[in-house]
Amino acid sequence: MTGSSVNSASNSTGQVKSLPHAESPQWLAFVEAKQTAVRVPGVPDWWVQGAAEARERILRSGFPTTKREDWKYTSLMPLHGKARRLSMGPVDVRGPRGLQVFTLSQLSKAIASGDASGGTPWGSHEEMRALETRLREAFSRRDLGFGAELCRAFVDDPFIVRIPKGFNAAEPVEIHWKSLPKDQWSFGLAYVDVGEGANAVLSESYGRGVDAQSVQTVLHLESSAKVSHLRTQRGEGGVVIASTLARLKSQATYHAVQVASGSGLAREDFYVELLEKHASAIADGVFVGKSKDVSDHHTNLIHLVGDTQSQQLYKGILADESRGVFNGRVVIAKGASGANSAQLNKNLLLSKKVEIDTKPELEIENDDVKAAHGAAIGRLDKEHLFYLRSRGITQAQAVEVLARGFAFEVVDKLESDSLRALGREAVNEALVGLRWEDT
Amino acid sequence: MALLEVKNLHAVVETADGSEKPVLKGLNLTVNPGEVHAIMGPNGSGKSTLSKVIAGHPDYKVTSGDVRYEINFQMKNLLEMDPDVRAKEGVFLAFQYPIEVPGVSNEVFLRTSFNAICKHQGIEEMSEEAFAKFLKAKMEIVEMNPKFLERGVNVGFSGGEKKRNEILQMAVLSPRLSFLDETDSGLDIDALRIVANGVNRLRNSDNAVVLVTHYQRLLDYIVPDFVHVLADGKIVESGDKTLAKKLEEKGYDWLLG
Ligand SMILES: Nc1ncnc2c1ncn2[C@@H]1O[C@H](COP(=O)(O)OP(=O)(O)OP(=O)(O)O)[C@@H](O)[C@H]1O
Ligand SMILES: [Mg+2]
Repeated sequence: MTGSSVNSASNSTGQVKSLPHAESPQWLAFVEAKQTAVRVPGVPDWWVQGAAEARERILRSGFPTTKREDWKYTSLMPLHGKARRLSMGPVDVRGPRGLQVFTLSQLSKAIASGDASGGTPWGSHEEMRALETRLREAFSRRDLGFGAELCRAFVDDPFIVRIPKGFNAAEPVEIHWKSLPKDQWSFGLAYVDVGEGANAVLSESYGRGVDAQSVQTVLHLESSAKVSHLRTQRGEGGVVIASTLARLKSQATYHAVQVASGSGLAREDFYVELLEKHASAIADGVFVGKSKDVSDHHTNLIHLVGDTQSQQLYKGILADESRGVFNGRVVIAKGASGANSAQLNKNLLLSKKVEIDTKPELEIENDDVKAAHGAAIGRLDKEHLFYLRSRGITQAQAVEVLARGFAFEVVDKLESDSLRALGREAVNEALVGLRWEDT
Repeated sequence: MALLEVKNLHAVVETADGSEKPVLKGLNLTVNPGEVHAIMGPNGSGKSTLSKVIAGHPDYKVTSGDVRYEINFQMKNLLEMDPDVRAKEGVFLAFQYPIEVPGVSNEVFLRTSFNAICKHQGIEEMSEEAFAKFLKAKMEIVEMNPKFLERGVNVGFSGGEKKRNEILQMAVLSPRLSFLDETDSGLDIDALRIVANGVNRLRNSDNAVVLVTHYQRLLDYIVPDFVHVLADGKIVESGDKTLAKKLEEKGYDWLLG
């Protein structure tokens, strides 16, 4: 096990300003203050310029309000009074031998030094230039939602996890976005580059102990790469705005499972792009809401070519006065014949005061495809509860057992034993203290 | 001292439309440790309702009467206890229609249940490994294939497999008072013998079994000490095992008159 810790917090401290009201124009002054941020030595011009542009766009259009269609269920008001400082979040990355972890500034320094014939610590010049080009392309995107925009605007130096060709390990690569002291809004950005045919298991976690956090993870899967990715968003009442993009080349397979719980306000924008034939993705999730939590999941499965597959199973468990949003967008591009997509959202409501907004959004420009979708809303079955209680199981425990059964269906699809165990653990933790109100 | 004493029990069921329908209309029954009772009676007479009232189903409300159950040599009011507390004190109901619980594996269900009861009785909970071993022995009693442990509780089980699973639960929990509600219905000839032998093996001088059945055949295997006829919410006739034979020949008409 090699461990790496990337911590760029020291590069940009000191935006000690009170964070203004979430929907007021003063936000923008806050963003403006960041214009004076210290530039990390070695970071390429395109990065710095792109960040400045992203900040300008935020300045122009402001923070999204519930008047915007894609934010209509979710208000950013809870940010008010929580995040008083913008900071780069520390992150822990560890994983099996062969894993490479470095920052963009280190990458571009390595490219700039050495001669073209020599290598870098991570590979040939040519490979590293190609990697920088991929990064540059991915990070000039403006269509990945507000979470991505925030990270682009405020991250000084993204870090790169390189899983090279030939990598094959059952042991997980772990990315833990750590918390910062109170009152901070921390940002983080990771680029996970997976080489041809590599086989990796990835466990990512964030949300714990944070007041406010925005993270973006971009994954690039070369041909025939195989990645399982558990994303555990385990909040403790804070605000999380996260964004994920996975891009898949031919025959690449990606199995993502999100387990989200505990954040007072969580917004997840998840994009999977099937770029070449025979790429296939599973993008599943479980979200658990308690007290007044808002858990908002916008997923986007984009079939750019034919003969690609996507499958989605998202399950919501909502208790107390929580709210859930599932917006499942599926795009099948013109000419992508033979694309196959299936989406299912199931929700278990445990009180009368919860709310679920579920919506499929299909954009299909082709006849010769399969696109199934469905949504279901259910409550706990009283006969199930009685059956468990008649066997000595208390009501509270019976509720947990039934909810666990509902949620495990999602995590149990993970093939990797270690990831499945982590997924089950995340679900178990999410369900502690789950209340059922007889409806 | 009796194990169970039911006196002048009146109960109503809350129907789907919210109204209340009287079902039990003054029922009396006393069960002593070591006894086997059989309850027979026409469809709709209230046999399952009695079982569910004993187990504490929330849809069934007792309007008058008394149900007492012996705990530590004292007759306690059973109706005051939550269903899970009753189970922890040794009351068991094998359901006429066992419920399917998707997503919860049979093994996890049995272990959760077993450990809940251990904890209540102050016995140390079993580890996963120890329980697996214990369970294996219990499964042999009902000749059940281990593959049923991984599946969701009763999910996709045939009617007979569900009934066998109920008796497996009984074997795991070793209750003191078991109501077996038509456990024989839906069993093939071999399964009936296996299940009946299983129940006989679980019998002892401290526990008691109440069999709800429509058929004399079960009583050839599990010989009852008493046979009762439940009609229109009351026990209208009680006798020894010969009463079951008589009912088989003559039907219920002669009692209902
Ligand atoms: N949940 C319910 N809603 C409405 N009616 C009910 C309900 N439960 C029981 N009843 C009614 O109460 C009466 C007694 O039912 P119960 O199930 O106790 O009969 P039973 O003696 O077990 O019959 P069977 O031999 O057919 O199993 C029946 O008329 C039945 O329709
Ligand atoms: Mg019945």
